[in-house]
Amino acid sequence: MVITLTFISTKKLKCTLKIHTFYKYLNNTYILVIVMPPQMLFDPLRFTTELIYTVSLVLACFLIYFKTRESYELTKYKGIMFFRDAFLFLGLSYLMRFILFIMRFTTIEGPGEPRLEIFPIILLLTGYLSTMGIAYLLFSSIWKKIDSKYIIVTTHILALVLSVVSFITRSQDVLAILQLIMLIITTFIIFISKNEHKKLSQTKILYGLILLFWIMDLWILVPRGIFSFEVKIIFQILSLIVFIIMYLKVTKWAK
Amino acid sequence: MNKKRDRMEVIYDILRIIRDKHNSIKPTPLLRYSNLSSSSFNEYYIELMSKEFIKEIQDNKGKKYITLTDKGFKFLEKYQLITGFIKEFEL
Repeated sequence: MVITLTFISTKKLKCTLKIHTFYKYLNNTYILVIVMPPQMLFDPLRFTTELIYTVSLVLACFLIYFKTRESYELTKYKGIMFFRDAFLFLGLSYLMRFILFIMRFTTIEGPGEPRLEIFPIILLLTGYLSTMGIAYLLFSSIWKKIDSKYIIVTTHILALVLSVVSFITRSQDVLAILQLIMLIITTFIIFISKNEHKKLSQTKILYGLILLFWIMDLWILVPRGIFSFEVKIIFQILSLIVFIIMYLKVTKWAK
Repeated sequence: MNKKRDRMEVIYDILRIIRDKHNSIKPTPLLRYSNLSSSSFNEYYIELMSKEFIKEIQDNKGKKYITLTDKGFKFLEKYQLITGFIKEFEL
């Protein structure tokens, strides 16, 4: 007699097995169907890459923030304020994202799981901080053309709305879609605000890439996302390169 | 030219004048060298005092002089880098 064991699960995991059905199938062949709870097991490779990626990005963001402190304190220049605050917000967003990642990829789903209660709160914080980061990066370029008092208050409200939506839906996909719309609008504003005779500068391209990679990074967190592990790694390496270029550009001037 | 950048340039010019005059100049010549109206000069003067870029000192005869503080020297030292940074990142 041949017994075939079929594991039905979203992930290849070891977990408490529950025998669901024991089918008789064809001649002398049996299928043992075991329905596995939707648990997710710690993946050391994925965890290590995410950890290295997050630490590097957060470090780059915080270094940019601290390196520009003196320039801001001496001048109180609004453009510098928006620029450094944008990187502070982005650094914190990546920290929050890492906490989301830990929750997404190590959570044993089920009632009473404390991490499931915290997840929407972390998502709320991620939404708020990253929206502020995107907006402040935009303002650093166009602050001379806007009434910054008004716009800062509006941005806080917008960031709050976006984060509350992601909190209610409990989905970073929704947040990523909303921020993608925001990014398209931001790109359009930067594009029309540039000088007529001036080409889109390298810095603006870097800004665009930073924001684009952030949204990609949110999508990457989706457990059964469309991207393979290799593609995700390539995105993250490119993202890291962009942040390193940005950091090197800052250190050139903020010594 | 934007207003804020002009403002930074004016601050730089005022501080540079003080430094070039051996870090000690009376308010009236400073007003003259800075090429500002007296109302604008007063505005900048108050700002520079409040930011602690400059300070007032008195000599034995009670005459008032303006000198740079450490922060004022630091601003002059970093000015080229800061303006370079602002230009590079289009801030």
